[in-house]
Amino acid sequence: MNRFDPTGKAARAPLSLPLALAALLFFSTPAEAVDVEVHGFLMGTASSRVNSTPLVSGKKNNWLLGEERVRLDLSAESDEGSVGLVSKADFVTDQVAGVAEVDLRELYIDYRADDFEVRLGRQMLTWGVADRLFINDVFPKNWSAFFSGQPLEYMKMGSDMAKVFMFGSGWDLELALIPVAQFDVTPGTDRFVVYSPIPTITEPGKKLANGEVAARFHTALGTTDIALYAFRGFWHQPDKGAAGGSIIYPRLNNYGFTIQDTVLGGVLSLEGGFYHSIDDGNGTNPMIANSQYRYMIGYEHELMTDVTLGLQWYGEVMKNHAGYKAAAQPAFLAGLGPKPLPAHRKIVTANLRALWMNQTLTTSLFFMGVGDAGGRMLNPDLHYAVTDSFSVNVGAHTFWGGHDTWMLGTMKHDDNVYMNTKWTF
Amino acid sequence: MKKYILITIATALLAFSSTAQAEDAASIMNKAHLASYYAANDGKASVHMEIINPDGATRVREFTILRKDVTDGGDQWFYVHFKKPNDVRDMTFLVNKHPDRADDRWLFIPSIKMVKRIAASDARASFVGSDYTYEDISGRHPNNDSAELMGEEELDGRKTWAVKNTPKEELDDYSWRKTWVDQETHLVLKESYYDEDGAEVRRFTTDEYKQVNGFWVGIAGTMENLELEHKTVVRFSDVQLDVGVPDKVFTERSLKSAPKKWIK
Repeated sequence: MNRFDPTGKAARAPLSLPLALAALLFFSTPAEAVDVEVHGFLMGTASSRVNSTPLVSGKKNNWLLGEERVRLDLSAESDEGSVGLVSKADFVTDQVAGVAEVDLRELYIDYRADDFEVRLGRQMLTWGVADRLFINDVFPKNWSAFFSGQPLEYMKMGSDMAKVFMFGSGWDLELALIPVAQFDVTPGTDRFVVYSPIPTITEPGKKLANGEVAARFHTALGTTDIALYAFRGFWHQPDKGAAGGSIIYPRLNNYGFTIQDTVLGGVLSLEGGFYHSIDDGNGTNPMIANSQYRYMIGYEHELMTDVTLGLQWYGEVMKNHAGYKAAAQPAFLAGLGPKPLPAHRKIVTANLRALWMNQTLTTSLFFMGVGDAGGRMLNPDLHYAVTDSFSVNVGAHTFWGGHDTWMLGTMKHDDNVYMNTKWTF
Repeated sequence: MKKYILITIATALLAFSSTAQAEDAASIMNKAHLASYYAANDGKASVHMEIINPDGATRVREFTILRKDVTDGGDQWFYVHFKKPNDVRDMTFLVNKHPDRADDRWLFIPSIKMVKRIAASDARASFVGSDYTYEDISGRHPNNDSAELMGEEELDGRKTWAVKNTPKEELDDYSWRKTWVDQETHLVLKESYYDEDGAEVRRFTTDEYKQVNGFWVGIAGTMENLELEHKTVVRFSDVQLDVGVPDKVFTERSLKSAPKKWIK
């Protein structure tokens, strides 16, 4: 199964042996009482393209999603909370692909001591301070789920990792060791009309040297939250490298920071990172993404009671744009690659969110615009909690402008409407 | 106008003559504020909230709330961990309340394991969709109102001071309120909110209170929106005071990894 799988259910290696051993240890721990809780939901999702453009294969299929999902959340915790186990599994019937399968979202065990915690297994991590833009959040995303209207939690994917969380007076440190890198799922040609020049993907070999390491150190100066980040791993998007006629994921290191505080009654967020593309040392390899500086400035403020506006300005500055352009332009002109990116790629977003009817109805309007003819997207969304346990979510994505080989320009035939109904227990 | 002044003077005289120690309205409201929001140095409670619409349809919110005072009448920390409804289970709020400026607030979204700093909302905004506002939950500082003693009144067999509180800055939802403060416990037993035409638009009542560790605490209350016929009934259980909630509970760690000992 390739990474363009639009359903976001890419096949994965079974969980590692250490996790199984740890689970065994957990269940064989006697003495202490264990609190067990079972929750979950039933969710139906339908999402359809509204353009009639046929898929690359010539097939006329407008359905992006048509699925039923049963989520089972199981948690068990020792009486004092020192040991815990969490499992979140989705049982999915995918009507578009005509398959039924299990999507194991998370499965981990926790050990909590006074000044450190260890979490082992498949888990989700969200870092950074930007909204739907990512610099220091180096963990895998499912862009296909995002663009087809699944709830936001499906945009994030779990990774199999060992995470250590340490605390001191006024600081905390998260260290994640990821033995096998997990890559993004991007909109694929089997459901979306998108630019996708190379169909085959070669993932890095599964060996220890190809593992990923991510760290986040957080502290506060007065009321200002400050965090520093470091990452050694791979680019996670399939447009960052190619070799031997197949897509590869080149090596990537990141060094970054975030700063966040309450300013003039709103929240000011700053984020930056240096993406060091290790395999493209001098920036002249046309097949490997250039190193870049990424930054984001965001401000969120409540305009009036229950109405909040969030604005973001984001940029990517290529380290050696001249070298990159000289190498990438011929491939583009020969029809073998995307149009070369500008030296400074800019994105603005605006998110207007309002709560109505005793906060049971949430409406939001999210706009994303990519500069230099990168394309635009508008996502109106409405969520209504009919009761405490039953909710309905409807929305749409519309795309316009932008070059066909760029995100978001490549999505211009993928305008869609979506609907989720969810019963939680 | 003359008549009004006479009544005011008369009630004021009445109030002075009937209490051993003369109490001025501002100090009554200060005592009520401290009794309602700053009892002991820290505290813990389980909260069950029923939000009831005019048709009788009910929504339930359940959460554990932890509080620690930095200074009496001043800054405070709150940690709120949700149990119900199911779609917000394990959602957590951390609030550093500042009476003199915008609060600092953080939110943990469990489905994506994300800590998000949130813009301090309008103090008059609804707390989790209930009829209580953020200000009702964390306390409106008495400095924001001009207080005027209306007299002594008996309410359900309790001796109270009735105080007229007029917000110094005009608010959208009411123009003044009458507050009944219990003379013994200093708890607010009732509060009626009036619009500019003198019509009662909102009403709070303390339905039950008891002594915990020597402090009087309201453990059940109702907030009614009389215009919309919408109300919220709150009941506190497992109320504990001066339990020594450590500072480290009010940190990012607790947002990401709830301290089971304190939220049980």
